[in-house]
Amino acid sequence: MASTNIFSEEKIRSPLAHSWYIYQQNALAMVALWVLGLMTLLALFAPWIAPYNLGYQDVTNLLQPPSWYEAGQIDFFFGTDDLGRDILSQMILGAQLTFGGGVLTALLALLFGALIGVIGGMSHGIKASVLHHILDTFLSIPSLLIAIIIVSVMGPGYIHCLLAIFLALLPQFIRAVYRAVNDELQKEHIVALKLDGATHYRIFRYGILPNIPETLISQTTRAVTAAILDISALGFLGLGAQRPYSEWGTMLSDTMELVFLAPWTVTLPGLAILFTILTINVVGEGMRQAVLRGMD
Amino acid sequence: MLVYLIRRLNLLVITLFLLSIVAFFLQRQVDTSFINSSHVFADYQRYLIAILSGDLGISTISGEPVLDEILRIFPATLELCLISVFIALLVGIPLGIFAGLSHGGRSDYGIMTVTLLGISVPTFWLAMLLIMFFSLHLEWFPVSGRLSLLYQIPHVTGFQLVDILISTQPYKSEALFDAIRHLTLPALVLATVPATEVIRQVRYSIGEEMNKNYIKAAQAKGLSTFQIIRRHGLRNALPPVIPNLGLQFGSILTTAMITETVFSWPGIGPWMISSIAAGDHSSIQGGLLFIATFVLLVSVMTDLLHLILDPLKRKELYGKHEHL
Amino acid sequence: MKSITRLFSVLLTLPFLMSCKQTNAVKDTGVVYCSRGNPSSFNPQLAQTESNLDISAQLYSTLVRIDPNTQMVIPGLAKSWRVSRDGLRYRFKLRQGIQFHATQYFTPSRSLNADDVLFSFNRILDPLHPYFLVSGGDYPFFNNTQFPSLIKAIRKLGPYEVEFELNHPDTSLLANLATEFAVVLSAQYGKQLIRTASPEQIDQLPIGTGPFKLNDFKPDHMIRFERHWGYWEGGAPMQQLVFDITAGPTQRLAKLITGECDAMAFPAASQVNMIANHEDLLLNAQTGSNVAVWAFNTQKAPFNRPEVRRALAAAVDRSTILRAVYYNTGVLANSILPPTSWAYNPNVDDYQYAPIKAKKLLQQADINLPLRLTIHVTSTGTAFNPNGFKTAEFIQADLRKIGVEAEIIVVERHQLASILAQGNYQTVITGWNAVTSDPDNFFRAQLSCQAIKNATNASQWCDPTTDGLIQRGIKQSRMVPRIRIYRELQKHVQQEMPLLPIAHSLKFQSYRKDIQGLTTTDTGGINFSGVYRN
Repeated sequence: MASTNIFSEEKIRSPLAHSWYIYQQNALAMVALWVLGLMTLLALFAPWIAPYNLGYQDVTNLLQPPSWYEAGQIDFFFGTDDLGRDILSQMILGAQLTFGGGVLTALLALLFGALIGVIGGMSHGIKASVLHHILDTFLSIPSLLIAIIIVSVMGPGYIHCLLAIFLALLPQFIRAVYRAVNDELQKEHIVALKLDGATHYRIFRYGILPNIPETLISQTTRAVTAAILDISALGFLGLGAQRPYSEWGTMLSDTMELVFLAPWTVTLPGLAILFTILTINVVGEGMRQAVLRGMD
Repeated sequence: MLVYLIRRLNLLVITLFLLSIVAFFLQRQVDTSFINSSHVFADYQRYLIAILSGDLGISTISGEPVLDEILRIFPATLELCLISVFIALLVGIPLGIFAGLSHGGRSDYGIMTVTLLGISVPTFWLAMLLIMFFSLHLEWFPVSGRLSLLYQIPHVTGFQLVDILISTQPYKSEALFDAIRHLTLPALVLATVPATEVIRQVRYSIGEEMNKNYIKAAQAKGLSTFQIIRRHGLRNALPPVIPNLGLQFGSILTTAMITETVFSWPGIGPWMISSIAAGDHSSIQGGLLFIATFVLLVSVMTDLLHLILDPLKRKELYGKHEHL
Repeated sequence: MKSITRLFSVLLTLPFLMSCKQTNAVKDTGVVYCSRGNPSSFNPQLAQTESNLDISAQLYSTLVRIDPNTQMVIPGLAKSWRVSRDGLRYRFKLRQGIQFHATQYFTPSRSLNADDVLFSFNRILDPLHPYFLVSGGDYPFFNNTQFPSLIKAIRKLGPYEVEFELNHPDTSLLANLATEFAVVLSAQYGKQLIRTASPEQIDQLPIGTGPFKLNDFKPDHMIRFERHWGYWEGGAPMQQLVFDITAGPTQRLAKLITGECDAMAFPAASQVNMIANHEDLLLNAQTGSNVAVWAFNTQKAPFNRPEVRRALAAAVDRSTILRAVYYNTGVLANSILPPTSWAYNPNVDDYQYAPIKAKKLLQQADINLPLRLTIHVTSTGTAFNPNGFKTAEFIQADLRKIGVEAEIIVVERHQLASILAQGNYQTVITGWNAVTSDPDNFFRAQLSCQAIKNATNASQWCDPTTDGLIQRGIKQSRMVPRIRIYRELQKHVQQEMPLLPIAHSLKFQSYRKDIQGLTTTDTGGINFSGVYRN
């Protein structure tokens, strides 16, 4: 097609914008991104969105089935539990604890981990080598196990559980970033930069930073899902959030007693976790592919 | 090679040393025998000598030596892990090949969707769902334990299946059958994550291999797809799978601890959880040291195994070494 | 490719093929019972609560028993007995040739005789008995029923004849001797353990005359019993009996459904409906001799004032508790005595739920609102209350409506006993599970001055009128005046309101349909001696 423009203006997008353009082509990933956005809003404004507040109990409506059952009613969309608490409200409030807490923890771990990783990666000698090797060995212990160990030292509780997961995720970020930086440093374009007499900061800003997003994205996706699964697993084991907080895993461990009476109290919180993790994985994978192709 | 080996072992020692310090302070919180002496260093030395001689302390709940308890229950966990790794390979390899061959096709898409579900599902919830459906609804499988209590199998190795096979009871086959029924659900739950890992890896490497020229040559020779996979594809695609599962051992073990809790499997998981709940610090620190050491050893061993088996990795290592 | 596919499909379906239920030899000759917890000891004489009693009927026998159908006292180890005219002497003739268990740790050389009966009961009564102080020297059931002050002496009249002499007539003696607490141990085993200097073993490695003997015990896991061929009523049909110790009611029911257990202890109230509708399970309901109460510490202000107690009681909506906690597997209590008791007073006014009146009563009593109080409750369910904590939560919500702020304090069961003994609490949610069907057991244990010491009087209630009526009730052997006394007592208790009776819980047993011959007793015991598989 002939261009109406006299001056053929070639638009060159920045890699980031280009990646975003590629991402938009992926319908599934876009849907997942929207869902993720909605969930973030849900987590942020949970107390205002939830139809009932945390302590609310309706003793006249115990173990109400969800509204799509014949005996269900629309007031309690997902039904109620054995104390007459609305399950929908509990799940919305739980989104803040499980999803919100997971994302927050992973992001904090990303921030600190990346910082330490970059510093470690840019430095040389014994410092870097020790860091590298200790991390290497420590990483063979999975994060949940580290979290269990930390919680067992500090005692159960939601904040302890977040702290434990943060500490458990930290080494993974440090190592991932460290590796990426280190690998990058071996490349010729960095050598060129060095020969140009660039400062550490310049090397980092122009030589390394543009080339590590892929690592960061896949690592962050993995960390967010791991954090959410770990928070709910600790809650389920009774080591994380305690009642009345309706963290999804805590809700599940509570409803073990209701398997026979009210199966929906088991299926719904579990579905919420599954759905959340699935969404994050789809978004993460979409982003990773977009960035990879955006780089080319 | 030797340098690498020494360095790896050296690091193992350093990490274990760090771990022992953590465990030491945990122990110090409760152990009254430490209170009188003021020298942390001397205390630690004493502690280190004790754990090196296999003395992990006495459980404050049961009054038994912690190491004895762990050694008695750990085989149950290990048995579950090994069997689920076996299931993961059994299911993962064929599905992985299948997905790899139909790369981008419908069955590939289907298998990868299932895989995505597999890594996204919380283990404990999957366990509960399976119990609800297979045990409580269909009444096919038992919900807990390793063996019906009516069978009396002497504890020899701690591995139930082995113990049954070497026992002299007249109802051996009956008991074996019962043990397998007990194993099925927990092993399936535990196999989910490693199976997805195997599928992804086999799919990837089959996909890579099938595009190589020697495969094309083989195709040109008129070999069937099955023959090609058997003769060439698998030979190159499989070797990385097993060491990778070894590296995953830590997460398999943690998942096992959760699975065990749901299925009341008498392994290290419920034991740890009840120790934490009861505030039994001796057991917690003992369990911590034991599990961590075990995981580290497995990871180092698989690393070495990988090194010995895979010449490419060895070369890579040397290459890297020169580079540094 | 095909052969591999076939191999995999076979391997994958293998577990499913194996899952089909099948009968086999070991399962046919053994039965598994999902019990609730570890026995605190293997000697029922020491047992604190009904949940420690399920081992009793398997290991031991008692002098007399209660017929489950007619509620009459029938012979046990004693083949007959006679009561003297003044009601002070009970003479028991023992059966001959009753064999004790032969195990790895003890081989009996003689059968049961009068010495064993004396040995067993003197252990409880005589502080100089070599075993009196073994395992703590505390015999809660016998202290609660004031057995030591009742018995003057136990005498051996012949090798197979014993006499119990009483200090005063007590019509409940036979009923007490029929409970699972009053077991007969082996005197010969006792002697052997003294020789080997390990007397405490008598309560850990039991020797009795019951249908099963102990084979193995793994705490928190299981108890294995083996058939006692020499059982005096004939060897049990089952060769093996295993108690699968499972704390959670959901897990117990799950195991019952999958057939891992053949019978389960204490189905939760919430499960009853489901069990009743399940095609493989049977449910057996009994009106329990129990009551759940909310007791006020009447020695502490402001609970020492009856008007405060009445106001607080009126604020509680018990019907919600019955529905939400009991799932309607109980009846509202109008007295601490269940309506099935012959001494029950149907004319006592129902306890009314009247929150507005309650608030007014509190204001009239010059109580500054908001009043703060604490509610102690145990974390585990009991025979009389399926979920004490949930009950407390509902009471807490009701009290908030009348301006009373309640704080719930959760304690372990053994902790509660010491808190009750020290009297350091305000209110408590507890109850009573009667071990005999005699009304005296309800009142004496919960409201007599003596019971404060035994930590069973949760209201710390000591009142001359109440005590007088309780004493008159036990001495009166004629039925009509006795009923009159208990009716007056119930009226008095409701007037004073030292506690609020909440509900009487139904008792359930659940087992699989192929299990036959399982019997249960009023007092919470279960007996596997006649169990067989159909």
